Amino acid sequence: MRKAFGVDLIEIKKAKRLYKTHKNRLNSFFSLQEIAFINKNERPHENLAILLASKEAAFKAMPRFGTGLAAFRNIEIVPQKENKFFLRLKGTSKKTALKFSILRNKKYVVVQCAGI
Amino acid sequence: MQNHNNEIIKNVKSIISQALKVDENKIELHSSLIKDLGAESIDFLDIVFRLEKTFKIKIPKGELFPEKLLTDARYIKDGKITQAGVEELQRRIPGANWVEFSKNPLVANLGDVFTVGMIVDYLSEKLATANK
Repeated sequence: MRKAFGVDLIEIKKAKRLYKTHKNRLNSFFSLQEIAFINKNERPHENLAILLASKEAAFKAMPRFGTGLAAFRNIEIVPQKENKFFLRLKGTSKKTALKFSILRNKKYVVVQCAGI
Repeated sequence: MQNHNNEIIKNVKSIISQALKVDENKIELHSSLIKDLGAESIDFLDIVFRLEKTFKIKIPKGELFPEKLLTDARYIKDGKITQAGVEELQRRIPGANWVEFSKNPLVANLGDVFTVGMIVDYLSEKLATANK
């Protein structure tokens, strides 16, 4: 893999509004595992923000994955323990070599994605 | 037909105003969702959900915003859209400013060409087909 880097920021307030208004429609864009990850948190919109930022950061790092809503289900974020997760391409079980790190405060979630 | 289109325009402006928290009077058909109205990726999700709910339709992924094309290796090279890709986009969205986009056809710049009018055109066609 060539060196790749992507970063994205999501406003938590927007994620909260999105979750509140459309929580029953999320399955159009997220896998069952991703939805389980969202709902696992007492504040589900925070995990929704993490997922959105992770996918956007991955698209920026690896433009061949696509971009935007249509590509959302081309890649799947697979959560693991303690805010760690990996990314796999749809229809495969193979982990990509991308690493993610999450930063957050009360207002924003920022995800950095890097591959070397 | 004109009344029908006016109704669509009115509803689309209202949806975008709610999703992006912008004054409805500032929304024009030629307004770019990203450049002029400040839409971010999360907002596109919100807009699609609101359109589906208001117009009682299902919008298949990639149909309204044709990003699916961007996963096609024929149309993308080194983060840029190829000439063939721009031509394909032009065919799908004839009303957008492809001349300006072609000057620097980065994938990342594609969002700039998504306008309010593009959504209205899409819905007019979709609803007309559904009513046939």
